[in-house]
Amino acid sequence: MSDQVAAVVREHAPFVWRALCHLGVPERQVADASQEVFVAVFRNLHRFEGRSSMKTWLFGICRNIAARHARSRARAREALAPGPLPEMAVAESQSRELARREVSSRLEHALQKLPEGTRMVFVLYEIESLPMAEVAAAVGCNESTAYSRLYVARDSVRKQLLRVGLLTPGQALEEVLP
Amino acid sequence: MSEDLRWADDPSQPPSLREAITHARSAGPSARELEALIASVHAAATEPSSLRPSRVPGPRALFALTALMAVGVFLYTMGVEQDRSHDPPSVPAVASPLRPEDRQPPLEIPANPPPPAASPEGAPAQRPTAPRPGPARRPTPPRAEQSVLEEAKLLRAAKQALAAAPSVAAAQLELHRKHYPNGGLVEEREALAIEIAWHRGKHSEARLLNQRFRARYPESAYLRRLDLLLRGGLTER
Repeated sequence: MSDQVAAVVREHAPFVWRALCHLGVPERQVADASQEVFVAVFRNLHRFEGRSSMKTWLFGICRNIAARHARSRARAREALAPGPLPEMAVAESQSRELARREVSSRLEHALQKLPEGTRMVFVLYEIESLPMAEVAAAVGCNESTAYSRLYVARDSVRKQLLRVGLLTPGQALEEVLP
Repeated sequence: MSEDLRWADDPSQPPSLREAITHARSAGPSARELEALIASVHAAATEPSSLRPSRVPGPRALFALTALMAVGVFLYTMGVEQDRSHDPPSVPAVASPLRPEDRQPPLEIPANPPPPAASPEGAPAQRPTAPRPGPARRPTPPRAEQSVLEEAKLLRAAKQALAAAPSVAAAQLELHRKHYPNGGLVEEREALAIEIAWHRGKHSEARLLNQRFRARYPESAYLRRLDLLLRGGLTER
């Protein structure tokens, strides 16, 4: 069984990790939350029949685990600002990397300001590249509503990036970055 | 409804914004964090009580009928019926469109349905009914029926998960092997193991398993299908 556990975790851990981050789980709790997700996966393995995508199923579990974590830290009132993004795979020149991290950080801040349902549509569609039908199923709305949320999210993200000076109307982002 | 062009693929979006999205897609645990996660999940998830499939309570007759249906559906999905004819494949390889009732249950769904109020055996005296003509029914222990039903459910889940998540299908099969090492559907499990290995790209392993399967079950109805699969002539699931 250990090989099977390793295979499943290796294959799906990045998605689970990102989903938990975007669902507001603090970075220092993501590892624990990921463990809870996969334990729930293996305890409910017999329930997954492949009729929906694995990511849709996993996202439902992530959402429940994230909600549980949110409840448990409700009294602690942690700062809402998201931490730095998890380890990145690509290393580039320092200035280029800094510029990219700046945009990534701003993007993450912009996403955190969105309502969860809207944010998750953006995340699942733009970042996880799920088909919109699966996005709608994962967040529990119909496709039209999901598209509406996507457009709201895009508009909000654009405005946030404009506000902090990372985007100017009609100007490519490359032009305003060092 | 056609899909909207994603920002990362839209050349009209600023390059750094597209890059930020692409960058976000590659985020995840570090190698060290991943190994720690695997170890902790393995320790927690393989406790004896944690991987046991849920029991399905119900009257004996319902069990017998459902078990037969489950086995029938399982055999059908394994392609036995297709192998008996030369009809073109009719089982789609991809998952069907999502419907609300198809969604996988979240955590809140209890693993074990509540037990019935009263078992048929424990029920008060039943009203006498006229005997019905027909072949005599062979009494089957409820536990055995239940076991076969659970086995079939697990194997069917693995079969259906094969397209969406082969690694999960393999884990489900392992779960069956753990709980039903000498169950009533071992032949089906071993045939499915070959399919899963093949679809996970482990072709040498699939061929080896197929040789063992052929030696163990020389009269199996799955042999033709498995041969087709391993020759690359079977694309449907």
